Order: sequence, then C-alpha cells, then structure tokens
Amino acid sequence: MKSFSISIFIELVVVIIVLYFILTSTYYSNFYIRGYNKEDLYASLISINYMYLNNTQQLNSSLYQIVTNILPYYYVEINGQVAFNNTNLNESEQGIETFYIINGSVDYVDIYWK
Amino acid sequence: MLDRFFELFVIVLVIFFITLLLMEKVSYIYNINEKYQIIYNQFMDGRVLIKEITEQYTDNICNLTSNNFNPSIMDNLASFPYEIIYENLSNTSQEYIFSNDNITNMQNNYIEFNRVCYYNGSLYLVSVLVQ
Repeated sequence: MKSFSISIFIELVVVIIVLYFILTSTYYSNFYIRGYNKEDLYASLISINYMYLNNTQQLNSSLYQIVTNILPYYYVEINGQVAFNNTNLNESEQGIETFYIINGSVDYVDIYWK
Repeated sequence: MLDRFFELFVIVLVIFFITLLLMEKVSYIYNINEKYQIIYNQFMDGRVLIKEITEQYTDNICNLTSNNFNPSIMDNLASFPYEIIYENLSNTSQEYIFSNDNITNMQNNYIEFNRVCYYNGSLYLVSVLVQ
C-alpha cells in the first residue's frame, strides 16, 4: 500500500495557492482615452473659413494650432511643401486633402496622420 | 486507513480549489464585458455632447456663439458627469470651464474629445471630458 507523505501535501497546497494568485490576478489600471479624432478634425478644419486670413503664413499658423491640438502624429503639406510634421510621410496611415481660398488664390492642404 | 483518508482529502481539496479558480475566471470575463460596456457608454455620451455644443448651440459647425459661454446652458446639458473646457489658443490664460455637479474626480478614467473652433477673432480648443 502506498504511504502518504506530508511533503507532497505541502507542495500541492503551495502550488494551488501560487496558481490561485497567478490566475486570478486582474490588471487594474487608470485609463485615459483620447476620443475618435477624424470627425473632430474635419469639423475643426471648417473653422478656418470663419477667420479673415490674408496670406499663407497665417493659414500655416492656424493649421498648426488645429492639427497639433487634435492629432498626436501628423504630417502637413501646404501647396506640396512640408509645413510642419512630427512623423514621416511613409509612416502615416491616413490622410485628407482640402483647399482654402485666400485673397483669390487657392492653397492646397494635405494632412496625413497615424 | 489514515493514508486513504488523506488521499481523499487532498483530492477533495484540489477539486474545491479548481472550482474556485473556474468561478473566478468566469466572473473576471463578466467584469471585462462590464468594463467595455461602461467605456462604450462613456464614448457615445461624449460624442453626442461634443457634437451638440459645436453644432447645435453654434451659428454653424464650429462657429461658437455666446450660448457656448453661458453657464446656465453649459452646466445643465446632461446628467452624466462631464466637464467642458474652452481654451483660447492665442491667449492661453483665457480659459472657461463648465461642468455639472455629478463629477467626483476627473484625474482618471475619463475620455477626452477635442475640437478647435472659431469665436470672436481667435481659435478656441473645445475639450469634453466624460467620466
């Protein structure tokens, strides 16, 4: 007849307790989520039309205020030239093109982000 | 005889603990679902709120009016805890904060929505925080 050894019993209990702590440990964290930004970007870009802009430099500064406050990673071109960016074009995943008419001339704006 | 008793005892103990573990796992999955539901509700509340304050109470989309800075309107928009912050981007010291009384602590577990809108010659950053 097999004899019962107390060491196996203790081992089992220890293993069960350790397993209990490993398997039931839940990851509690404080979360902070930035809301969906595509629609907010489109709505914000409309607000440039209400401003009385005179030249491309003013368009650049207004765009900078809008884009940096909404997008975490951005790459912005005005008339095909880089205006400001904090990521590369090949890293960005989405983008839009829009235009603004300032003093009768059209300024094309490309915004890419990831 | 005593050996046999201890063997049975160990088996019963193991089964008992395994059952406990399974129950814990099941309740953990329920908790995850509940957490996602709360986040989903927060998200939809926040989207509705930011669309309302930048499209309904304004002159046009993102053209803010004095309604947006009226405390009697902005403090009673919804029953869930929220906070609305208008920050002048040209003059950063100018900031307006509106919230309802249900806020407990805005330091964690909130969702933030940002829009940049025009008011009175300058651009304002409109932030909606939903708890």
